[in-house]
Amino acid sequence: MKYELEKYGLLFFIGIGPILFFFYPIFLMIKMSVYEKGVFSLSNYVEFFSSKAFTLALFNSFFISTISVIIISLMGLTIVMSVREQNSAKRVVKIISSLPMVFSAYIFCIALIYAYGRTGIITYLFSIIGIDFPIHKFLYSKYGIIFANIVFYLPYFIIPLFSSFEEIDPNLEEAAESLGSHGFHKFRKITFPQVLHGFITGMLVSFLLIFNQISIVLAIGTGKTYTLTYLLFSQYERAKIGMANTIATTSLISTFIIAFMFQRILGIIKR
Amino acid sequence: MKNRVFSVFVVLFLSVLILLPLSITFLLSVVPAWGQAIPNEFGLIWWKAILKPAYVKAVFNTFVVAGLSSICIIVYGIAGSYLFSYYDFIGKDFLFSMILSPTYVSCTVVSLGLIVAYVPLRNTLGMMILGNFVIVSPFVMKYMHSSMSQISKDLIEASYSLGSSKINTFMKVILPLSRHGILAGIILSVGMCISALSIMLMLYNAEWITIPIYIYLENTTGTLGIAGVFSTILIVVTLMTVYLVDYVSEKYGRF
Repeated sequence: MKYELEKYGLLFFIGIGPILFFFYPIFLMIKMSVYEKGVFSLSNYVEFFSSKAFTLALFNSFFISTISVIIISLMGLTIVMSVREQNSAKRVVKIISSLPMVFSAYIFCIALIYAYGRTGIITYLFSIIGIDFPIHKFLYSKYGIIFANIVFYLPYFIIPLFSSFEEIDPNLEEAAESLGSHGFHKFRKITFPQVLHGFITGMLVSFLLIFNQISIVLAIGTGKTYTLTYLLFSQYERAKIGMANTIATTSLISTFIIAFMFQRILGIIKR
Repeated sequence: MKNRVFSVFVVLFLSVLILLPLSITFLLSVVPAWGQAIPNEFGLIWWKAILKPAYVKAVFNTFVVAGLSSICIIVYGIAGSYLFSYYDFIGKDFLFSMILSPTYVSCTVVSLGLIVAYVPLRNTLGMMILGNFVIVSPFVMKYMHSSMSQISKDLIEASYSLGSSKINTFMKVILPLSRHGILAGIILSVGMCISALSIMLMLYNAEWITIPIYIYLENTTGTLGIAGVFSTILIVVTLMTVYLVDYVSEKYGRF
């Protein structure tokens, strides 16, 4: 009896948290997005999807996240593959990679501007040897946001991928080698299938983090490149709560669709 | 040999990509006016400037908000990890997914939801703590749970069979054995709460401006030196927390 009481008491304490502070607010927000002055109305959604600026923000969110994740996954895989058998290099990469995880994305972007901007240190150093380092030309556009996403979110992909590689059975790779499989053939047939689950999970986590972030867009976008999260913030600042609720709901639905698609892919891989 | 050369190249590449921007943050704090690519004048003008009462208050606010938030997050995290590790109930996986769901949602969406649902709390200290709680607690619980669930159930059974009470077993067996996960959770919680900007953007109160909010406001008004100083403080505090907790855990084996 005492055990049951303790269990249900704890369950209530833990369960009430997400219900009160996450699901209830989200429910209210969705409800308010379809109510205008107390009457059911889809006017905010009609305005959202008929506005070029708003749909462009939706497109930008998907475009920036997709391109960033593709580049991050290719770079991350190359980095992990190249250092996984070199213990000291692996340790250094892990330490360097963990730094942005405890760092503010906004501050990181300010520093990026001072490194790669028009008068940045890197740009200047390259100019000394006669090379026009191209990043400064697009730093304040959506391509600049993609660049910042790659630098900042690469560790979020690398760290879990390391764990996947550490779980690989080395006997399998040795057996493949003794049977004549080397290089890219071994990677394609033996190594990659074993880390595929971790690879896709890493892609999902990176995609959702990039899709939902605002700090990098605030710092690099400088009010010119709009994404869904930035649009939500700007609508809130203009006290357009109804439209902000609509954008938030659109963002939630998009997140749900992305997560569902990735889960389907993971399900297919498992089979 | 070829692999070794390539791995050295990878390390160098990552260093330039990640470490360089971090070191620039420090440079920003010691350059009075950054007008050209390579600064030619250094000074502590920005470090002296942060002794102004407004900036001191921002530092104080940050620690108050992060401290209070972290206390709530850690208590909730430990209780949740204990529940998920040692009790069986219907819908256990579902509840765990529910708790983790804010991880995959934008901070701006969470902020707006809280503002809409709890109007009386709008722009108060309580709302700032609540915002941190919703965003950070899933990460912390995930860490703590993965550590607590690895403790052998036999050890806990042995403790009970030797007459130890539930609380005693929790304090003397479960907590010490899951200390690494709990420490990781504490570091994560303090670090994330101190540097939280996205969640604070819509929730902050003018009386409780934190360092990240100050950096954002200073950057938009153009005083980057102060942003550099605050960023450096944030980096040092984060690294010190990591080191200190690690040192204490190594030396005393428990906390």
